[in-house]
Amino acid sequence: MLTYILFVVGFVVLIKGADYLVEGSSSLAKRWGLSPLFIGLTVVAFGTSMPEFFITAVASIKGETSLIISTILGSNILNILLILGTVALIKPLTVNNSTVTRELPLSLLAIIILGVLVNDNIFNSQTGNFLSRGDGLVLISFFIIFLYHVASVRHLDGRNIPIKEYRNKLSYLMIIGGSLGLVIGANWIVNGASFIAQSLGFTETFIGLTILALGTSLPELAASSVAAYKGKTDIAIGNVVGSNIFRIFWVLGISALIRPVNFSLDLNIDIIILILATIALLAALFVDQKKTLQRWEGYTFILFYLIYLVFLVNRGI
Amino acid sequence: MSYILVIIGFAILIKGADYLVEGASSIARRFGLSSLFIGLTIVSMGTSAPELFVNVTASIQDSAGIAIGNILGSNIANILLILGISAIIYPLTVHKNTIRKEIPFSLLAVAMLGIFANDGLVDGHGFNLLSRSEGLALLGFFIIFMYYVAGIMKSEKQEEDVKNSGLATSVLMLVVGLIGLALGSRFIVDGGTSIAQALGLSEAFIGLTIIAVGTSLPELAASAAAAYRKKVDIAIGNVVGSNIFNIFLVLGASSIIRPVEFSLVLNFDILVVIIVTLLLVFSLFIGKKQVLQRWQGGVFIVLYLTYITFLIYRG
Repeated sequence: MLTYILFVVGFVVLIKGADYLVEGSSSLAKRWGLSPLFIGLTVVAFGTSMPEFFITAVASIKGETSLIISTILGSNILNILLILGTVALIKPLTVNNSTVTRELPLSLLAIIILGVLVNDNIFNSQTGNFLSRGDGLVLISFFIIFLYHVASVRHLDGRNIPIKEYRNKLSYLMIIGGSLGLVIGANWIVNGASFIAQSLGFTETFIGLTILALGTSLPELAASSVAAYKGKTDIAIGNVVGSNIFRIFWVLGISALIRPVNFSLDLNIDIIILILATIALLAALFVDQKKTLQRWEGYTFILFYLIYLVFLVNRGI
Repeated sequence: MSYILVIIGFAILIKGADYLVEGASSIARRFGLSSLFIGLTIVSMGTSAPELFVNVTASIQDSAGIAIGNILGSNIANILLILGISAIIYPLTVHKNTIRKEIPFSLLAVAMLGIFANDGLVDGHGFNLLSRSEGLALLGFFIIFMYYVAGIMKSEKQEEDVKNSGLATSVLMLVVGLIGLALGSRFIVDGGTSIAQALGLSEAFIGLTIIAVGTSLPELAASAAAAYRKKVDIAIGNVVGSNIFNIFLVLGASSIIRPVEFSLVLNFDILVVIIVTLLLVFSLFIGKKQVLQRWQGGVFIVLYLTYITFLIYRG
């Protein structure tokens, strides 16, 4: 019972930890006189993927590698279909030019590259399918290019990110507390996930694709819904696509560096589904009113997600 | 005999690339493809077709040393020799974008190549090679680079001077160009390997020197002519772009066609490419900013000769 409770509490601790870490370090960075652009890029951007980052890192260290790719794929699919779907119901979503012409294609490239790197059997006629350290370095190199792009876009926007300032002591406390929360929360979640898998007979892959994916995407869901509710619809799609790119290039890249990640061939279907979901998003932005994700398209996305869940359950939990 | 074969090979190869580009772009125009697309094709095919054909031929004939050696040698010759000579003719200025984006990208390219080729070091495998999936990853980077190039072309709205030949002529040029490329690279690889055997040199050496310089001749001619006409602002950008193409497109495509073995001796030459690229950045910041001056060109040429001397001693 305790494991279950810790599993659920783990998500709260994890997400709160990421918040504190971001707030503490941005306040410190501001006090040190670093530019808002730099802070936005590093602290905020990395901060939003912290929950996934810590879960995959902990899973990687503990050798529970089947949780890793499934969590990433699951959250990326969920991000597009469920989160964007839901948010589009609140208010139709418009999108920036650069998101359509640059970031969406890049996120498509990201998932295709991932598909190539993990399918060693097809491309290199090797026996073991996994994401090696070399593959991890490839992903991180793509990530560097993406950061470069983000830096130049933000530069053009001249968008200032509001940063709260705290006293130095409090900032340090937030950073330490936040990091601790991330480590502890991720630990509880990974332990809980593998315990649930064993005791209830689910596969770890299934847990990663569903529960962990949902849990780690909660902050995005909250942030996007609030943004849509306040009418700031232009950043929702950009954020979701950006975090999809982050997860593959940065989070998977680092965890492959820590320890090569095993890949089960079943997940190829999920890779294809993610590719299709991304293409569906691109298509939806071009149908009817251009560059808008409309309500009915939101409904369709949610419906797709439910179908995907039914498929997952049928494939074998 | 082998020498003549190599020389004729280069002539056929370079002419073949010209015909291929002319034929392909005129056909593309006939089918109403955008001038942006045509521009991209001209750039990528024109600069990469010779290297690509030589590499694939070398790789099929199991002379892998020539393949990676050719690319590294080309990249080194591009910076030290071509930019050196052009800068002596007339000091070269450079675009901001080249320093901020293209040179970092070319550094990333060679770093990536180093990681891919050293599977032994990175992944603890026994063998070092550029596998098919690594080739696909290189092409992935290439796509990003093309995206970037397309963005620049769009903003500059250049006009490509595509000759409108008749359809039959265009197809003929395309076919003749392809045959020329295939035949020329066959001559070069055959000639190169027999020279290597006759003189007791390694294939990597031949790839790094003769073949590298030979496949870079069109770039040398173009850059030198541009410098002579004082159109100096494109030389550095072209050379850096061609270095990026060499790794991402040429090595990417050739390792998909056939995985390329990597000899660890070449790690030193990878390092040389990195150092030489950094040296280029450094030169653009000392003295007159964003200018590669005459004396710096002289230094580059001396460094290139030193490098060649080193290669001869390495054997």
